Parts: sequence; C-alpha cells; structure tokens
Amino acid sequence: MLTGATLRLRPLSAADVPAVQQWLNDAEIVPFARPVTLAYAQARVAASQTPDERRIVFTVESLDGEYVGETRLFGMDPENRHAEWGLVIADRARWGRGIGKEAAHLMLRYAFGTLKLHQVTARVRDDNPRALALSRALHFRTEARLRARFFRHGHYVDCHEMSLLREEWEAKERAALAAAPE
Amino acid sequence: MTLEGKKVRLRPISLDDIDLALSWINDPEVTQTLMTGRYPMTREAERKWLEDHMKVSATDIIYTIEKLDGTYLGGITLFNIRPVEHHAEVGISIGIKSEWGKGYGREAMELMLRYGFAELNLHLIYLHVHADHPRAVRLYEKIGFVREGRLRDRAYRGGKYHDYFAMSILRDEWESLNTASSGA
Repeated sequence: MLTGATLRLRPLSAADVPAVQQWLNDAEIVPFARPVTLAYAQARVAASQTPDERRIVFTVESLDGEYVGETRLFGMDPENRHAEWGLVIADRARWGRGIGKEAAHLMLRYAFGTLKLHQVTARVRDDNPRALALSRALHFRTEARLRARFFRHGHYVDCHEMSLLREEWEAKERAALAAAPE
Repeated sequence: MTLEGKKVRLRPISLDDIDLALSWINDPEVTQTLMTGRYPMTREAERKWLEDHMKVSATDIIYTIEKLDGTYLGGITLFNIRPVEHHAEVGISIGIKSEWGKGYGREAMELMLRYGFAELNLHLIYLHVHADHPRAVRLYEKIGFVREGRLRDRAYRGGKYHDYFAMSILRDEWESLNTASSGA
C-alpha cells in the first residue's frame, strides 16, 4: 500500500471488476475499444492479482476508498532492470486536477526506490496531450517517435517512446528536497 | 508457404534444425547482439520451442533460412503481428558464423518484407537493433528501414548497458523502393 496526499495505490480486489469493465469499454481510454464482457474483466483482474515477476499492478483510489484508476509496471526484465509504466485515470471527472501526477510520483518512488529499477519507459500516443505533458513534467525524455503503432478513428497514430533513468529521477528528487521549505 | 530468392529460401521450421539451431543459440558471439541467448539452452528446451512454434499462429511467423542447396543458415521471425494496427516486428539471425557477410541476411529480410506487405497486407514492419552493431544498422538502412530514435540502455550485456535503435519501414516506402528497383 502506497499512500500520498490524496491517493492510495493498493492491490486489486474483486470489487474493482465493474469499474475495470467500464473503462476497458471506454474508447477515450483504450485505443481501440473492443466489447469487454464481465467475464473478461474478471479474468483480467484475477490475472493482475496473481504474483508475476514481469508485471505489478495497483488500483489507484482516493483516501476515502473511491476507485480512481489503475497503474502498472509491465514488461519487467530482471537483467535489464527496466519496466514499462502505464496509468489510467478512469474517472473522467477527475481529469486535469493533478491526480495523474500524484499517482505517477507514488509509482516512480516505488519503481526506483523499492524495486531499484534502472529505468522506467513509457509509450504515449501523439493524440494524448495530457499524458505527454505529464510524462514531460516527470522528466521523461522522448527517445523515439514510433510511426503508426496505433490505429484510432480511421487513422494511424504515432507515439513517443520515452524513458526516465534512475539517476535522472534521483537528481530530480534531490532538487525537490533541496527546494522544499523547512 | 515457402519463400524462395536467388540465394536463400525461407522454409517452415523442422525438428531436424535442432542441432544447428542449438549450436548458435548457445554461442555468445552470435547472440551478443540479439535479444535471446542469455541463458543456457538445453536440447529439451530447444525441442519444446520448435514443437510449440510449429502450430500455425496468427501472431508469430517463423521461418528457417537455408541456402538453395538446403544448407541451414539461421532463422527469421515476424512476431507481434497485430490485426488492427496491421504491423509486426521482425527479427533475424544468421547463426552460422562462417556464412556472415555473404548477403544471405539481406535477401532473407527482403523476402520477409515482401511476404509481410504483399501477402499479410501489413502497414508497417519494425525492429530493434543494437546501436553498437553498425553492420546490422547499415544493412537495415540499405533495405529501406528508417531510424525512429535511439532507445537508451535497453539491453544489459557484458557488464554494461547498450542502446537500441528503433527502426521501421512503411508499406508505402517499401512499395516505392521496389517499384524504383524493378523499373531501373
């Protein structure tokens, strides 16, 4: 359990299934929304609850226990010590309020501080300016523009392949600590 | 389906490939620039891999590369095939070191691109290559792959981190290159 000022990252539970099914069917959130059944959502939540050395999944909730979304590290590689990071803020009423940034800080502290990863990568679609702004604010660097990796609403969409190295994250944390008031 | 060129043929994998495949999969000189070969591969595991990959798959297409006289050279794979985005990743290895530098890899890759675009109707084919493997990078550029960027530290090998280049070729690019060469 990772707790911040307004959010908590906690393990998934069976009670998350209806909320997960809802955002899996939201074309604004999932690049190509397929009809996702309750059974599929149940299986997905069950899989996310199973320990897996290549994947770690948290539910993001408010401190009073309301479902907010999901964040995960996946494609983890024990030798390269990197992981890809994903974040979904499912409740659209909460978009644009800094929720993503707080969830991201909790996750990055976990990835670099607890898991001691060397690098966290992220893939952000060109048509998702909010995610791009968040990743840049977190000091992720665009390393490549991957062409046509997504297809939405009749068009191919490029994406940014981004990463943040451990030493970059540590330098940023030190600077934030130094700037913090006593 | 078998794909035949002027120097090489791509044919379905076979259990008869097991000894030659094992010889390079366990050779660090061959695998140091590949995304495989970090662990000791047993004969049993290699047999199981070959058996598992003999099933017809919609997401992974695996060929053995051989000379036209049937001499084994290595393997080439089109994987992560995505039906909505119409793209796939490609990976290749000429595992027999004495056959490096003879143009076999280039022709195998060209056959696979033709297959991906003209038979599977793909929109894009992409790959990852070690940035410090200039021979491969040059080859992919000659074939028509475009560099999309440099991915930092994606591979830890030999005591340090190495970068990858992300490269890709669009169907339009492939078509114009092939029209140009056949018209010349």
